Amino acid sequence: MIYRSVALYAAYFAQFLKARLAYRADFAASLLSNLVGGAAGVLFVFFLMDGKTITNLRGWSREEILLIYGFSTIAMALFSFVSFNLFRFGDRYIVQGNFDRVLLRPLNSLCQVLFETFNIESLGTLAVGLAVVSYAGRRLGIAFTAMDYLWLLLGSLSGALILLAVFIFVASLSFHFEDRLGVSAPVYNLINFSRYPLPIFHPVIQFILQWIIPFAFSAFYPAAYFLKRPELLPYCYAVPAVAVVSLAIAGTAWSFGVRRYCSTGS
Amino acid sequence: MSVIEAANLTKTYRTFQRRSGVWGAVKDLFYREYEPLTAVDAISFAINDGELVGYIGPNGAGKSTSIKMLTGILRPSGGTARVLGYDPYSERKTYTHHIGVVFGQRTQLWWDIAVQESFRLLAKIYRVPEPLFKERLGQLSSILGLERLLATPVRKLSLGERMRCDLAASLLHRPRVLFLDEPTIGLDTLGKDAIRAFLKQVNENFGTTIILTTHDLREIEELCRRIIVIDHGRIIYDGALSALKAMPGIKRSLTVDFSATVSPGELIRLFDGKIPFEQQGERRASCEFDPQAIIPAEVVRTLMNALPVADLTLAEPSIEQVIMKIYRDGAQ
Amino acid sequence: MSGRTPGEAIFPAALLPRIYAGARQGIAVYSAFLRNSFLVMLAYRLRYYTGICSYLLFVAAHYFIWQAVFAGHPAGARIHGFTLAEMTTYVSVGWIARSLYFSNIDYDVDELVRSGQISTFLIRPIQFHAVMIVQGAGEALFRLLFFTVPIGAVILLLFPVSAPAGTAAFCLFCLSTALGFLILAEVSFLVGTLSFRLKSIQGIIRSKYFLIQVLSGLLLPPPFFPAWFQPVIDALPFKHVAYVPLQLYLGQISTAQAWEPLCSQVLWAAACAVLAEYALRRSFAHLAVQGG
Repeated sequence: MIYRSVALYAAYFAQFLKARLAYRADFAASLLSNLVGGAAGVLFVFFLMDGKTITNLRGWSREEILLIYGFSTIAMALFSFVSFNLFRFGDRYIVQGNFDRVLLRPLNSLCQVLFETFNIESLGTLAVGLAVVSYAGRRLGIAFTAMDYLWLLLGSLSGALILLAVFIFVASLSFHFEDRLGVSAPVYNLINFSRYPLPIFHPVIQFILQWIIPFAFSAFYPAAYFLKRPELLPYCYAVPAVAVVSLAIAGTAWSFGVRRYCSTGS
Repeated sequence: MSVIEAANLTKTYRTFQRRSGVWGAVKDLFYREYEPLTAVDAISFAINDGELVGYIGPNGAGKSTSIKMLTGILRPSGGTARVLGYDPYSERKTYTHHIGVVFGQRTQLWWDIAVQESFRLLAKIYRVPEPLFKERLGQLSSILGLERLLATPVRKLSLGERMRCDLAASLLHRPRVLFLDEPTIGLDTLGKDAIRAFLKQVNENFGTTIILTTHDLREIEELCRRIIVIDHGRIIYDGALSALKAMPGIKRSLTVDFSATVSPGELIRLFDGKIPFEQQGERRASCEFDPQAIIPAEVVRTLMNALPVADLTLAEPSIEQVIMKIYRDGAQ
Repeated sequence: MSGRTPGEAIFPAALLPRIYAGARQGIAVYSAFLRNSFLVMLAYRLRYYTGICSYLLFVAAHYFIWQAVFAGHPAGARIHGFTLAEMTTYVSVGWIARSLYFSNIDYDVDELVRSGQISTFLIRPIQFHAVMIVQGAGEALFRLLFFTVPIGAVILLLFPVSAPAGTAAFCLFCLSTALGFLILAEVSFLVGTLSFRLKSIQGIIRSKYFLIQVLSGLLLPPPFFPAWFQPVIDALPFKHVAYVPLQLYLGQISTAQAWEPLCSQVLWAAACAVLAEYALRRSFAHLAVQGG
């Protein structure tokens, strides 16, 4: 069953890739602009923490911050690989009625929405993220053992899944409110806070990012594993669990929304 | 054996009205008023295996809503729907394996990829084995003339081509029931003819049960023996198309050409003023009359006996007239 | 639930005289576009609330980052010429101004090209370029009333923002921000014209968004940039969108010297407009040859 689904969505991906690569110039332009977009954010941190006048943020060194920023960039890249339709879900699927078509197929509705479009260009952002992590990691003297690579994979994947869960939840609100845009924009902007050490923010913001919209677990805690701050380690180990729980909550909200859609038929 | 059964099927929506003007929009920003609206009001019908049924009604009558309930997209607010023994809504994932659905307004195919790639993906989704898929695709594309289109991305197809591809897509998994929501909307006569001929063939050769909503009444006339007419969420007619034409109050029209001049007075007197003839030039007259009140053959015989008739046309009521009449009666 | 009777559709030809009559009134048409975009914006009520929220989040994030930056320095210290109070004001006022000058002209052009509606502009006797800029101005006016004012109020309430350097400085700041809007609008239009050639410009629009945040000085004032990067900033029009108006607000440029940056803003706006118009003409020519 699972094998069947994986094979099917792999076929979805292959089709999408074929269509996308048919326009090579176009694809190259998007890939490049994604790289530039990703780099622009890193540029801010590089320029701000010049290492001369500004060397740290409340005790967090330039390299530590770059590592967190790099983790966040990787998680964002993985997340945006499949999340594009979530941001236009209210408009494209609910208001324009494409969700009807989704419901007519004998497949999971959420998987169809996620895997109908792939943002292949986010590979550009992924490259930026990996470069920043490896730069910061080397400066921090991280050995990058097999265990470290495993954590890099697990941590950033969990981070991406947490982001995904939050935006599945947000998209599922479109089932209840007929507005085209939904609340995804401010929630997306909240991610900005996850790219810096959590303790520099106001306690209320820390609380929200930790317990309500768990963005702190999407980059800061996964990165903290490498930062030799033992007080943060319990949170680091909780990252995969947080991902699982968030996905479960998001999945429930989604199916609740689908039921609601079926009874209102926007 | 009935494959589709609807019993007291009902759907109630909550609607909200946008206010007009700048100030209205500002008010909408802060609060909205909702009203309940019954789109489908306790409809019941049964459709047998292999039937081809026309489902018609004016815009907003509840056609689409009922189709959406029958296809499992919407959950009924009341009553039950059963198709092929399934409850469409709660057993959706299994149920959709056995039905095909085509919306005229919206394609089911992937916009950017070639038609045959879309088909291949659909075959995977509906678990059609490769050899069977090839066989059916060959069959469908020769009937529908798709060979030329298979390598083209959907967005480059014309509306008629796209619709033919959509039809083929909905039949790849050989569904037992096919729902068509305005499949010929916006097509030219040639395109419409091709699709009609194809639907007839599907219905006859595969025994597929077809439900068709449309605004094109010629289509109904050509394809469907049975029609269900819905208006204001209620079924106002369910039965044979031929019986509909014989309904009381549906008029026949008659045009007569004479070989000599006939005065209007003469004509009126001939039928004791029961038929309101209208003079159209010196040698031509026409009228409309109720065939239940005066037998058409009688009218013709009387005319032929009494006057120098050169030519005579007795026209059946047009389906448009008939439908318009039921809408009017249904509304009262 | 209307439309019961068929044949209600108005024959489009009947509309043509009305369209032409309207077009002849010139200004009246453009003001109709302005009013229209105003109404469209109002229709999206959620976008309104969430928009305010987003701005607040941006300011908050950067407020705390700057707090952390200055935490490592003695109280009252200047970093690259800015005190913490000035930096807080810079960030807050910068985002308040952004709520005014930011526009979606690139998206709108892309949408029109993609949907083929662009052809309706070509058959009407109006300037497509002008319509898009005026429409963007309509949105900006909307934002001024419904975004900028409430966002400003909330931000002033939550963060310690200093008053402008003086009444004259504030007026110059407003004028300069309006010119900043014009520069950005022309740049956006220029990016939008790429949609005639490329299948999707979403990626380019997104990277433009991030690049301009950095290059306009919105996130980081140019003095913080390394010396080797300064020529890049000076060669591009973007610092005239955010940094220059903010310098006027903070009094880093005195009112007496203000004519100089204002003039270069005007020149940049004109240069961008000419470039955008040139790109549009090339695109139309391309369209005529290649077809939609």
